[in-house]
Amino acid sequence: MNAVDVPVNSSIAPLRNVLLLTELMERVMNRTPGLPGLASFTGYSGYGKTHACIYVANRHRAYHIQVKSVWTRKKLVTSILQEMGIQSAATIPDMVDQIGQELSLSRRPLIIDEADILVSKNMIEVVRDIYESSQGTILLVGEEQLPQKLKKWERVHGRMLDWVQAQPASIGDARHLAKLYCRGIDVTDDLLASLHAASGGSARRICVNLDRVREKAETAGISKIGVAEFGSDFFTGNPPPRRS
Amino acid sequence: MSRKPVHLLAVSKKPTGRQAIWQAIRAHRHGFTVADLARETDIHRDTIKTYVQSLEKGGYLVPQFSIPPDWRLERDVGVEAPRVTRDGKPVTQGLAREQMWRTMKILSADFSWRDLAIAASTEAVPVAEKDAKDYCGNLALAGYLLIVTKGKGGSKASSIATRYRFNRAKNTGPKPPMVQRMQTVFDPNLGQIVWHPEVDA
Repeated sequence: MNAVDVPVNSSIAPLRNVLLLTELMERVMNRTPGLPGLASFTGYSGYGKTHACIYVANRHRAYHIQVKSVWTRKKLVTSILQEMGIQSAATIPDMVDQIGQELSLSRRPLIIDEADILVSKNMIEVVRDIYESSQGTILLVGEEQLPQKLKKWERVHGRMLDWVQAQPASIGDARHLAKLYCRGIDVTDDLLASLHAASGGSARRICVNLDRVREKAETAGISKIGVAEFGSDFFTGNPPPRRS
Repeated sequence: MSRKPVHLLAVSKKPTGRQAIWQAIRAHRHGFTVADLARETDIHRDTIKTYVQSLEKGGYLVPQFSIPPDWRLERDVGVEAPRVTRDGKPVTQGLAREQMWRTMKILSADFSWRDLAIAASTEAVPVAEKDAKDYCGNLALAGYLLIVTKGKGGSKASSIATRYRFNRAKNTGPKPPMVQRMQTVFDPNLGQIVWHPEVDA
């Protein structure tokens, strides 16, 4: 496995969820003045939300933070300021002002991952405060149920421009990922189809399985691999069956 | 005079170079001369003049046609000093490193340099695999990346790439650590050299 001195000629951009999020982000950033600037991107774990976030964050030089379950309000605002490279003020209200000012001046979006935690810990109002003082673009990323949970917070809910849900990986996604992760190996359509089915729509599992395919092909020294060569030793995420 | 290695500019945590000039401009947003900025920052007038003219071309500053010439801040983009060329165009050099740094901080799973290159690439700024490999190696030396499984070389079929994980304790800020010509690693967030090769006695 040698590093080649050429750029990766394909990025993850064509993946379904990356396209969805790219489109959402562009829509929120270029919204008509007066329209709200909060949006959410939600879905089951393994659908590739994080990779979509990475792509969009790099594209727009976004500030990205990932909330942890033990965070307090103060930790939330200091973490955002740290990501911005700004020395924190002494109090939370002042720090919210600092964040608001920086967001509105730089016009770069703020991405908050694991936003569910903010809702369950009653910290989501801090995000609303940041939004109010910046009128910037803020993306909340979280689990499938996040939109329902947000409903309880009328003042946040009313400032959402759009809710987008991550979709299960398509067969086209599997083909694109095969190009990225099994470079130089021809994965036949029948193998790709059964790999996609076994992965249950999870982009993460598709990558794990493609890695197995690549390993098998490289060990066997073949450049084309199908069901006949690989078999069906896929990682499905199911726990092993009970022993009798 | 040639440019100094970046770490020589950072004697304290005080901002240096263009970042210091930008900060002074923001503090005097309604009107300032090159001499004002020179007094504030202790940076050579010619250096300041070049940056001010670049910013003017980029539409950040507007000249006010007085004598001595002064400018006012027209487009404030926040704390980060705009990176512009002499023509006022955005500098794209270094963006690949910034994208890798951002990506490794977000990735919670472990990754190889190849995974990093794929995840961090955009159409506008693709990340070269070789660059990802070098950067991972250097950041691992400096302790920013932890080695999860050590790779091994060999033929294409038998080689395994090293897998890394970001060291959360080393999230120092938004700016990517730089690998300098002497193979030292400089962290612009801290303003200090964080790793240097051992000197053979």
